[in-house]
Order: sequence, then structure tokens, then C-alpha cells
Amino acid sequence: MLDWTVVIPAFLTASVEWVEAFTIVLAVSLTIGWRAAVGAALAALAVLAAMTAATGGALSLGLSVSWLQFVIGIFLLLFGVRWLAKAIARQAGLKAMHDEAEEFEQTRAQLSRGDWFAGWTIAFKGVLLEGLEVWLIVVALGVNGRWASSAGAAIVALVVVAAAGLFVRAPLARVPENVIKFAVGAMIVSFGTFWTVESIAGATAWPGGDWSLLALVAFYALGGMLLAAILRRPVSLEKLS
Amino acid sequence: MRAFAKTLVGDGWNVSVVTAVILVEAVLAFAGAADAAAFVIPPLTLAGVAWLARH
Repeated sequence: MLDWTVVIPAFLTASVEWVEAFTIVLAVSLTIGWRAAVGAALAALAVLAAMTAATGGALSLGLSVSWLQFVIGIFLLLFGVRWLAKAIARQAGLKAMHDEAEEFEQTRAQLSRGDWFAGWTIAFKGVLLEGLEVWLIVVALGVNGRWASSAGAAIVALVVVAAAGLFVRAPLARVPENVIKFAVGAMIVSFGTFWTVESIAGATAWPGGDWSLLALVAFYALGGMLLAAILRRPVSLEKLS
Repeated sequence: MRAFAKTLVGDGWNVSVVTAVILVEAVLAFAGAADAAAFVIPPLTLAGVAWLARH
């Protein structure tokens, strides 16, 4: 049985990270060829799969649920707070939007000498580092028997991004990355807040029980939008003229 | 290794914000005001997010 409160954030997080990983693999493939670049990506995905299996197994070894919630809640806060803050800063114009086309050109420039091993390493490290955040979310949201939902969503996202990438054969620059990061940031911070408070203050800490999670998502999403509006840099008169 | 750690936990400012939130949760719980956590922690976390967005 799929848990949609897990599927949606896991799918969105994984999509954003896979798009970034695809950009790196695409840039590398133009230097060392498709086979080698995809090989490096598959090697990194194998490492991530092994990490997910190992962590999932370790977390199922009878640890107390409240400790598990506390530790995972902290990681979710570390992750979600960062994503939400970045999305707000970008929305407010305090930070430049992430540009896949620019990332693509930067990676190509790094590989201008055509070094095969350097190219393979960049593709491997790129997929591994982007995938680490996917691993974190899959593991964090997969506890309490939700592995199928979290891991399944990440795999579906990988297939969707790879299919879209093969179809377009260019950096996937049109993905509304900041909107997705905003939404995912709000969801992940909500999970982190819910779990850390529940583990420290007890099951009755949230007045509406599990329904409080929805209220938290709304609070962080609306609060984030309000913050972006407040922090928005005014356009100078010189720029307008 | 540094890139690995930064990917997992973010930079020092990020860690500071989350540490502050967790400390406040712990203080509320140990002070017998655990019921207040549901109303105090979300605004506090959002304030931390705002601070991070500006830095």
C-alpha cells in the first residue's frame, strides 16, 4: 500500500536531484562517450542502492521508535531548512536561480582536455553527491514500513528524468526547480518538526495528531511565500530606466 | 569527505539553526512545558529559515 505523504516528497526531491545528476552525466558523455558516462552513473547508483539497503537494514534492528524519529527528524530539519531557505532566497532575488545550462557549460569546461578518467570521476562523483540527498530522504521517509513508497518514488523519478533527458537530449532546464524545492522544503521541514517534537515531548504533543502534519506544511509553505515577498529586493530605478 | 558532510548536513549556519531549534525543544520538554512546543517550534524554525535565507 502506497503512502502518498511519503511518495510525493520523495518523488519531488529525487526528481530535482536526478535532473542535476543528468546534467553532469550529459556534459561528461560529450567528452568520454555515452557508455563510459552511463557506466559511471550506474556505478554511483549501485553505491547508493547498497547504502540504502545497509541503512534500511540497520534501522530495522529494533531501535526505539522515538529515538529513530528524533535522529531522522534532525536530519530532515537539516535538509529541509536548507532547501526552504535557498528557495526563499532565490524567490526573493537574494540568490541567483540554479541554471542547468550554466552547470552544463561549467562541467564541459572542466573536461576541455578530454581526460577519460577525469570525466568518469566527475560523472561518478556528481551522481553520488546528488544522490546522497535522495538516499537521505528515502531512508528518512522509509522508516516504519514505508520503504516501498519512498524507494519506489525515487526509482520512478529516476526513470522519468532519464526518459525525459533521452527524449530532449539537452539539459532539463525547464523543470521548475525552485518551485519544487520550495514545496519539498516545506514538506521536509514539516516532517522534521513533527518528529523531533513528538519524540521529545511525547505522542500528545501535537493537538491534532497526524493531521497537524498538514497544518505544518501549510504553515511553512505560506510562511515561506510571505518571507519571500518581505525579503524581495526592490528593483532599482536605474535598472528600470 | 567535506563535500559528503556538506551535502548531508549543510554548512555551519544551517547546523546552528537546527541545533538552536532542538535545544529549545529540549528546554521546553524538561521545563514541563512540552505542550507549548507545537506552538513555539514552527515559528522559531521559520525564523531560522528567514535568517538563513538572508545569509
